[in-house]
Amino acid sequence: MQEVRVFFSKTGNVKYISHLDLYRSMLRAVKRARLPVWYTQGFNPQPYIAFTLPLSLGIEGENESMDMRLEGEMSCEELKAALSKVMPEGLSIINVRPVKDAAKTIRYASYRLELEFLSAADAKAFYETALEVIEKGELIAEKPAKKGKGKTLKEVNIVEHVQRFEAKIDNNYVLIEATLSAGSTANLNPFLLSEALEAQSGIEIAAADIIRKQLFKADLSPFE
Amino acid sequence: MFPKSLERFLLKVQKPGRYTGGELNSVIKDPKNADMRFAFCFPDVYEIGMSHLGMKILYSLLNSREDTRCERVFAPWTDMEEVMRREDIPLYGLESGEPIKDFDFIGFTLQYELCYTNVLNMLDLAGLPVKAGQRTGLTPIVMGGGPCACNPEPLAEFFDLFVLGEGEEVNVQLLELLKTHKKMNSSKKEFLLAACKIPGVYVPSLYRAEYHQDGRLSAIKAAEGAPETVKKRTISDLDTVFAPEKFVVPFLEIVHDRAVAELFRGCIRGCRFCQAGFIYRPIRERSPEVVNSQCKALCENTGYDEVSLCSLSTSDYTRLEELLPALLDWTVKDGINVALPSLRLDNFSKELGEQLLAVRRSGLTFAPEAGTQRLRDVINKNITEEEILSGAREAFRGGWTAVKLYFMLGLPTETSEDVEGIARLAQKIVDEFYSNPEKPRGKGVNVSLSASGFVPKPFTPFQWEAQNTPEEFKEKQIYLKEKITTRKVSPSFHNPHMSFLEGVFARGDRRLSAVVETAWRDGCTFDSWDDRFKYDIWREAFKKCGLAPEFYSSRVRDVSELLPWDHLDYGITKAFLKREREKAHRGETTAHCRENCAGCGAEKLNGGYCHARG
Repeated sequence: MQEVRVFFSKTGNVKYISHLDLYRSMLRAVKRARLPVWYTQGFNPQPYIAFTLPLSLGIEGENESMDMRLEGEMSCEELKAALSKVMPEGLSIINVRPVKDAAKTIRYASYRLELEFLSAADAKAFYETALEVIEKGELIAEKPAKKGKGKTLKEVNIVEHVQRFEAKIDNNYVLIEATLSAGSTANLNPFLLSEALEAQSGIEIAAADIIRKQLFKADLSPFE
Repeated sequence: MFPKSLERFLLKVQKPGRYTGGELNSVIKDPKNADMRFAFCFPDVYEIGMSHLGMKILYSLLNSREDTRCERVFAPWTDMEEVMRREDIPLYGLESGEPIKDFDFIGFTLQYELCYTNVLNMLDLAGLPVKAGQRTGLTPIVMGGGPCACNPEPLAEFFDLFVLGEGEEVNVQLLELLKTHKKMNSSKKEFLLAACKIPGVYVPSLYRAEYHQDGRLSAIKAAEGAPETVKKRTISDLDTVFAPEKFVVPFLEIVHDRAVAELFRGCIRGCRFCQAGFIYRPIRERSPEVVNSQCKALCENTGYDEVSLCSLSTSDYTRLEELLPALLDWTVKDGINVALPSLRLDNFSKELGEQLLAVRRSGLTFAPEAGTQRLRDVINKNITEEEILSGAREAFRGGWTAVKLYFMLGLPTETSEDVEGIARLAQKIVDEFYSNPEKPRGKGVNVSLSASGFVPKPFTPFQWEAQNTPEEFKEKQIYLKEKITTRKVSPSFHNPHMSFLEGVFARGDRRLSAVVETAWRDGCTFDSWDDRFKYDIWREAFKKCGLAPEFYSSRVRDVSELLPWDHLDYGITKAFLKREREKAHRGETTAHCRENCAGCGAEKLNGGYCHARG
């Protein structure tokens, strides 16, 4: 059995579908493409698909990935071609490769945040607060606690999870390129960052377009 | 697609995927070649509307025409409605994101009475007056179809026309007609006068209702050349009529998320409470080859891992034993589950049972409908207690530990003994479980018992009966709960006020249009949703309009009384319904149509041919 990693993008209106919905869409795509994939065993067998790192609803992904196990004979190129034919709009197959890195080696993800403000003055004030906070190295926000049930929140210093932060102003937009902690040990959702900056600056973000661009390992080399 | 101005709000509403479109197999056309636009509206949320087979059929059919663009429209949930009203975004079609008020047709499928306020709300969100008379232009033509169109009188004020019966042919005729009238620059009136000549098209504004002093109808008069009676449309050959090979595959999980193929239309059973069992007659079957190849195409084009065979009573399909092996031949290999809903307990054979073993088991549901044999005979639910119990026994032997039971409260002639009988029957099913020597160790049985309130419906033998009042329903619910002494049976009940309103509108006349509009203006929408249902506002709306809901639901009508739907012809004759009613009151059953033709009259809709008679 060969384990392959399918790299795909999730762009445009499909950003409004949840991770679970994405999973179901991929299951159906695999069925339509009649891929010789390994099915989970048990009461209700399903094609085995494991997503490397789920993407939150509302965020686009330029280079996402999921793993499958191939049972029959099929090359990565053939798999890519077969899957490409059946994808819904907004989901495109970029590449299929044998699995190289384990999912647990993911440490960071890079994002592009395009934040729209009601005025250029708002954008400027927000931009200045953002730079100041990152410079100072402290921005406390409440994050759902990982362990335990219910709505327990814990306070975290977000800036500790910001590996890289570059921002610029364009009229009433603030454009941010950031690399944030990602993966199973520590994960910073970019919405948490933008909302914390919104709270800190007291300036309302009118709309946020966020794209996850790439996943990285601890040494900042791309996850493959 | 959705309007650009909505973008910044989509992440602030629940399930934004309801509003974005772009699903696999949705049809987006070049506007240049397709100038007839049809907005197919389902007056409830996306997940419910997208599960509806009729919409899938008509959407595909209309889009198969080069000149037509059909788009889907659902009722936005309240959070989205608030955004749309605040930001002044009119209701749009999911394919283009463009306002539906600019479409040629706005077609609503009317599946249940408690969706009526949603219809008005959607028209209003579209930016249109809700009253047909105030929409003066030729387009959009607002039309309605589906089961509630068999008595559309409570909606008469809001719709330009209704389509009675099956829509595959008549929708196309209407489209052609409107296309011509657009070219001729006709007025809406001119179009409607021509449309009412198409069989199956009912234009309510061409009919006038008159009333006796006491409020009963005295006459329904056709005017301006409209036909005295409008006969419903019936597709005569289900093998050659259009059937979709593709379904739109939603990203969101919907209620029935699977491929569906019809086995037949109509029903041979004649359960006297069941409107569907009468209004879809005469029975017509599809051949197994056609069903099988449609199932296959649907699964290939959607990637669904379940296909469901759809009909009112699956095991009455005469060629099920031919179809199943052909289906299972490829579904098993492809990892696809075959779902057979609506199986009857009394007529499935050993062979069928064995074939079903290859099918993944899902929940098990029995619908005895009534608790005693006497009452089951009254409603012509031709099933005996022994059949129910042996069905349960078989199921428990097969390893099931949970069953669902459906009953109705308030059926005609019901006594407290019948209500108690429901509890007794449920207890006997529990006992069956524990008397099974092979029952799984350490496992209990779970019988969920659902009791709804009976709603007398038009075109059934019970169309003249009084419905129980909400108070009577409540008393019966409490009584039944008391009689259930085991914790293995968990009862659930329908909201009695909802059943009551459903009853009022099912048999209502056109004066009720005012009540629907008032209730909607006062804030009612999504009335079939428990957390949105506002009975007080409804009560108030009746008062404001000077109408008593009890007049429509709580009195026995004389068989000579003119009924609001008497000018609509669904094939089955009043004489037949009267005979059935009399037999019901005598506790006599009627054999199913294949055993003995009961002379319902519906075969005349199909050139005198009925599949049950051969």
